[in-house]
Amino acid sequence: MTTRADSHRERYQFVCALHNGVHARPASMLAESVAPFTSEVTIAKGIDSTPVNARSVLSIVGLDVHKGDVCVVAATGADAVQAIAAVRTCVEGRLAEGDELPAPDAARAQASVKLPITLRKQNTRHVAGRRVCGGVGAGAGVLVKGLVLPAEALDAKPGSTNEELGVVRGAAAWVREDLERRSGLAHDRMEAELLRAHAQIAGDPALLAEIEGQVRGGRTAAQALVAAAEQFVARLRTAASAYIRDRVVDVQDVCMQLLDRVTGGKLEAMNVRLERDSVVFAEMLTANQLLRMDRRFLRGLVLGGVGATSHTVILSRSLRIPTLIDVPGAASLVGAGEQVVVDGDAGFVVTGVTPGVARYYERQKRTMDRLTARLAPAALKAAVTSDGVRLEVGVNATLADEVVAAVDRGAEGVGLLRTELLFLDRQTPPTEQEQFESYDAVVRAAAGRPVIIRTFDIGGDKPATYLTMPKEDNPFLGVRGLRLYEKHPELLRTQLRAISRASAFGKVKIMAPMVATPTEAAWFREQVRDAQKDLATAGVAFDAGAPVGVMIEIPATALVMDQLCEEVDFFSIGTNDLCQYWMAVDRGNAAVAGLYNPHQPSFLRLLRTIVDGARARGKWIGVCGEMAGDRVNLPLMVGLGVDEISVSPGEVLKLKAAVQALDASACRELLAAAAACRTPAAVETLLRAGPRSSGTHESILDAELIEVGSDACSKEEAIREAIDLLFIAGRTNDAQAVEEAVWAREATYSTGLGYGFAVPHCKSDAVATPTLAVLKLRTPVEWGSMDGLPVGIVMLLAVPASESAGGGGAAHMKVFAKLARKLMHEEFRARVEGAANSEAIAACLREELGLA
Amino acid sequence: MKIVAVTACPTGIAHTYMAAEMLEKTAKAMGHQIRVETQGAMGIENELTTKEIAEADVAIFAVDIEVEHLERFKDKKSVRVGVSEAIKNPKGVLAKAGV
Repeated sequence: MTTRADSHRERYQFVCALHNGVHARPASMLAESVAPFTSEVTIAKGIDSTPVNARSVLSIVGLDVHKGDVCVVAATGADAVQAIAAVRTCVEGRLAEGDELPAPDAARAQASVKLPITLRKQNTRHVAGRRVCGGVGAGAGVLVKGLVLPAEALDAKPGSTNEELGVVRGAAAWVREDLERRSGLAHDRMEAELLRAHAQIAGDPALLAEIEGQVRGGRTAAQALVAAAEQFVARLRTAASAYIRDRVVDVQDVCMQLLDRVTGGKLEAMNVRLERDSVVFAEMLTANQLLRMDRRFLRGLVLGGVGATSHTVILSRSLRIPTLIDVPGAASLVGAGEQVVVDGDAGFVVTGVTPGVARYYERQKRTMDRLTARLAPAALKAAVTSDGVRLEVGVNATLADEVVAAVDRGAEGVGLLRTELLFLDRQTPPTEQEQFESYDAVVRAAAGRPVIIRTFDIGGDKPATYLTMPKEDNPFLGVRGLRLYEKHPELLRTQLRAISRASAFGKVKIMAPMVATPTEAAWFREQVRDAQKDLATAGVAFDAGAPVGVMIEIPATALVMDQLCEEVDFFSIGTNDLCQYWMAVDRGNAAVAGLYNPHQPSFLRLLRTIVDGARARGKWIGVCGEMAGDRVNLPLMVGLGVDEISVSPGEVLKLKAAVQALDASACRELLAAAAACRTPAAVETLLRAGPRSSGTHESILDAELIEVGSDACSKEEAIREAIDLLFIAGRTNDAQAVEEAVWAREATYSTGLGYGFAVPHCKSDAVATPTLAVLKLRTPVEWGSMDGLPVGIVMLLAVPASESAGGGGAAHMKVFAKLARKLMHEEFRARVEGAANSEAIAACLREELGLA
Repeated sequence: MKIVAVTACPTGIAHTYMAAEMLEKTAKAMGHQIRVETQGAMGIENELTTKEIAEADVAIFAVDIEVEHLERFKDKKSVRVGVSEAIKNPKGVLAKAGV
């Protein structure tokens, strides 16, 4: 980075640190930064490329700047120095905010799609696409065309050049103002930024010059617009990065709005009316087309050439509209008004909706509604075991958005807010204000719930360019976490000030990573005090009582918990690193990774020592590692007696519900037994069997897994409904995988054993725990039974594939074997048939199968 | 008569035991002695002893997969049927075995 002074000529050079390169949003930030100055400002990629106007977003985007590329900015004029300073501030500051990372599933292209069996058996007409936003939506197909001139504008004769130029300039000014106004009104930050970027494009000198050139060549304003758009689109399409290519849609978007204005609001594509539940089909759809639609009726999007990182997709995701992209021939798949269903979860659109398809999706919706209803109470309630032990369930987060979603799902706080992301991939450290805004957003999203903010955990494995870090042979045992702070006290001080400022607006707890000794803990606490003193001196508000804690991830801490308790207020166990350091294993090293297992009995003993150490002195202790997020380990967490577990947003609700089904004293017994084991395998066998009182046997059978009066009207529906009972009860997360396994078994020979009974069954790793689900049908269905009679009672036996003959597994299998034998007896069948409701069937089965 | 039998189905969860139950129930009702070994998901249960096999008049295999330790039945008179046949028509299976 160099700056060379020259009289009225100034240069500034920077390396692009943005993952996605300089696309429309960062480009508009750059253009905005130089807008107030009179100097001519240019930007070039490298030293050899032709410099382009830095006020033209499109020209900047057209440079196709990738991460790591060098950019040279030059300014000539009276205020060149100020202009360059502004660019520099922009690059070093807010530019990174415009860098949206690609969606997590964007890279995962859909290889093939497997229809659910019910639809497969009906030969359902469908087309696969790439999933970019999940959910299911049904409605009438609406076809949307792109940037096409209205017929009457096609052959229109231009007026005088000046008249046509006036029309173009007027439209550009109007559209720009309109976009700026709407940006100011937008509630969604994403939407506001997008509209601002588009306003920039609408005023882009390069775009206007191109349009005006087309007018001077003898075209009408409308014709010139379409021609100019084509020019720009062709130019951007050749860009190397997919992200830049996706910006094509932004240019089209703005041009469409201009055209709509020029044609007096008659552009069909810009004025799509949705008057009933609709699914929009388009080869190309711009974000503004999307925003202009009546979202109350928008049920789904099926798109062709719209990229996964386009604003259209980013918007559809934030609006939660089921969306598929890369759908070949999207715009001509269906006739207007034809009923379709977009399955954004499975990745296909059903183009031939028969009553059977509609029925399938109605039933699926009912299942999802039941699941939501079942979990909803858990979200509102605190997670308390059956014997009254409370376990807080918090969320691990990086962004405020995640926290909002997790709070909706019942998160009781943020158990770990990682802050490294703010520090990485940039040229200079984040400012105090920037950090404060970021932490403040999270604290506000948590709405009064506690937020544990961990100071930056950076080390040799995740280096930051502005930190001087010596090359280390073994970064995991080197300078990282707290060990780095001594060499960069100013970075820590700034962060602690930012965190403390945020503490004035909620319940903030401050935590240090990689603490090994009480001395380090005391030092950290001192640093927090110093930062607070800075704020007190400056008269800035903060919470003087904000608890200070340390992360427990170095085994040495286990034996000095008493001393650590004297220095800090709370602890959070990071099980991932703790286990690696404890077992002396790099879990990325395949040769030894087998040793890395939090079920190592020694590790369980270590955890017990740590938690007991904190509890003995009444200190709060949580667990934020991966171990806490795996439901299998929940009895261990309860058994340890930790105050909190902090997990990923998707797990919060399930874990809260699961806590309520546990008995803490049984969990303590289970932990004691597990810690006494010799091998992780033995521990895992115990965990599969579950704690005592949740009972090996009861867990096979539950009244909520029995449905009387099912309206399933085919074998397919009955099997799916029985599997959905497992899904709703949280015994499988992948109903379709279980379904496939059941039908694979069904293919060998029918499980209809006669007398109106069927026992479909499977072994599948998609099943969490051995389960018996019972369905009593209102009307018996054809099953291909041994005696040819239809089936009225379905007993689904689902077993995890890994279920072994030893340990708890045998007990479960014995119950199934006993049930199979019982079914051969008429008295038993008559009892089941005679039972009137779920409870009666459950009671009857418990008695007959000897389940206490 | 003295009968020994082995039942085994592909998943070993349900039909292995149904067949065992039907064979036992039917043979006993007909006044015969029967011992059925199940080879299911839990492995071998009610394992037949060498003595039981030696003393039996006939062995019935109601199986859809290979019988484990088939060598125990070397030179023994035996019939082999599918699991579902033993469930559907246990009397027929016994008749086939000459019972």
